[in-house]
Amino acid sequence: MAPRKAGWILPVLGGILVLAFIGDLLFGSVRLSFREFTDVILGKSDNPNVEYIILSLRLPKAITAILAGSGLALCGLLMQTLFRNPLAGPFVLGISSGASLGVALLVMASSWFGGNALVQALPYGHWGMVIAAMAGALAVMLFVLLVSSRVADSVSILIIGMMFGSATGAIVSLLQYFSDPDSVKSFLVWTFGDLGAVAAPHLKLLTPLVGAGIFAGLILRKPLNALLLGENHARVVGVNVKRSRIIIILVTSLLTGVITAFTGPIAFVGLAVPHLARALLRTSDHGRLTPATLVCGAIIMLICDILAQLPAANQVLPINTVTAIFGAPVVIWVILRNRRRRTPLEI
Amino acid sequence: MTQSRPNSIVLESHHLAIGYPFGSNLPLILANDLELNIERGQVIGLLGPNGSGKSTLLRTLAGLQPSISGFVTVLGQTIRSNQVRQTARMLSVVLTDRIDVRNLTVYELVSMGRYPYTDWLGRTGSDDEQRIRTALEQVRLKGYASRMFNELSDGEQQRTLLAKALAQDTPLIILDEPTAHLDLPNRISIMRLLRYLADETGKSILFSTHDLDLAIHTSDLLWLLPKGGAMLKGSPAELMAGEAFEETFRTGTDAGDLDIVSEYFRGLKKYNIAR
Repeated sequence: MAPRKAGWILPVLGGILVLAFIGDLLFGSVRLSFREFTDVILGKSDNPNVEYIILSLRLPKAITAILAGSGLALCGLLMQTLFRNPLAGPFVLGISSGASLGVALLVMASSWFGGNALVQALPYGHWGMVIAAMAGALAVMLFVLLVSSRVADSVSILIIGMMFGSATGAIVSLLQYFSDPDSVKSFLVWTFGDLGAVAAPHLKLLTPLVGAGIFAGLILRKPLNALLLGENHARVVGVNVKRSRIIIILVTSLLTGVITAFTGPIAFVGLAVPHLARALLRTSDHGRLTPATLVCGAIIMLICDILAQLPAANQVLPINTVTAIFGAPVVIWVILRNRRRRTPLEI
Repeated sequence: MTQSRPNSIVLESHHLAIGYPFGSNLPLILANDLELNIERGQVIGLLGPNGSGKSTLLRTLAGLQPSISGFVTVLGQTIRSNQVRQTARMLSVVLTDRIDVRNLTVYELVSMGRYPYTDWLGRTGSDDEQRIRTALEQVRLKGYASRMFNELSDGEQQRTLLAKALAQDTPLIILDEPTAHLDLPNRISIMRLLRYLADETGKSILFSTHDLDLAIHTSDLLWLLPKGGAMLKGSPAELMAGEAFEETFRTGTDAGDLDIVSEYFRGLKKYNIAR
């Protein structure tokens, strides 16, 4: 591509990412000095408590924030380009609703179906939630893939995905209506999202899966660029639209399903971050937009995680609320700033 | 890519039927048994009333939709609607579908014309970059490379899409209503550009249009497609000598308007034959 704008934005974003990562390790409910922090990093710490806090609690959480933030932001970009719709996000295919249904069945319905072997077989605790959510996400993903291999146009897939999300949401509501308050509460807590629930053993599964999804997203830049013009224009330059669409949906479902399974649904990042990246780079070329979206997603999620623990020393806010409270003003600001430049919100 | 043999056949169709299949029901057939051919360097205008199947024919020839029966070959190779990459090396298409994309430069858009030749990351080499620059010069958009596509005028956008088709380096370019939405100076400019490209580069050009007058001036051959699919082919002069235009457009005309349409064609012929 012809050089157009200074290439300094990506390195600067990389620097901010490193700072946000260090900040996320440094700030938390227990106040640590920078000295204590550097001692742990350099392996010179003689305080096992501090070492435990940083390496076993905050490090997995910060890595999870990076994986979830960049993965969800990438999904948002893929969906916005595929559907050529600025309002599309990782959840439009109904994948996260499927994950919710899985968890709702585990948490709430298990109390009625006491003898249900499937529910009984699942380990309760975080792995049980993860397995239930993944099963739900996988079921919806298979359905969406089946539909997208039969339906000719993307808009139908978008509508069917949203319909499926609504129907799944309604089933979850019904389950809530008929469940006891304790079960409802533990389900609601899951929907708040929790980066801290992901511990080192979980990361061994989360990291390679999200890594694979991100790699696939990075090498999809040619079909994604062609799809910017519309499906017919993509076909006339030799892009296999149907196959590209199925790969894009597969990558998005995998990332959304896995991330939601481990952290709970985290709204807004996927929708907002691609707009932020476009506004920063002023380009639609996925060769540069995809890396920028990944880095911005990681930064935003790390900052949200830092904000989630600042207000009260012992209380951590649910991440899903922080992303929306913090993210909505950012997106509104970006839109207003762009409007002044006479450029509407764009994909 | 293009062959130097004069009068060599670029595109042929045999027993081509175009239309839309309806599952188990009978297909909707717009035209039957089309025996078409396009020679190297020819400019062919496709004219006909709305709904006669002009776009369907262009889409079928370009492999964007399957034929009901029969087949199409370009330089002897059969066009298959499921082999988009191979097809994109044999013919390029300029569609009417509106492109609604911001933050994409003219250069980036034209470089997509090289996609049939580039690797899976779409990386362009120096040969690709040379072809992109040449294409921009041919459509007189030199100096526009870093302009944003969505900030161009309609005429400049159409020329950009033509440059993308040129960068695709195919012996045949198909254009679906390239002059729609354009003002008169831009319509004339696009048509003259098509004529120039065919003469200079030996590319064959097939376009559909409702600008009868411009098509008559520009084309070597006209294909007139009335509703019902009985296509009439010939040079503009041959077709104007008979009642071909009247017959073609009678199929799309309300009975009450027939007089006006006939009068229009009388004027058109008088003016064009006089020239």
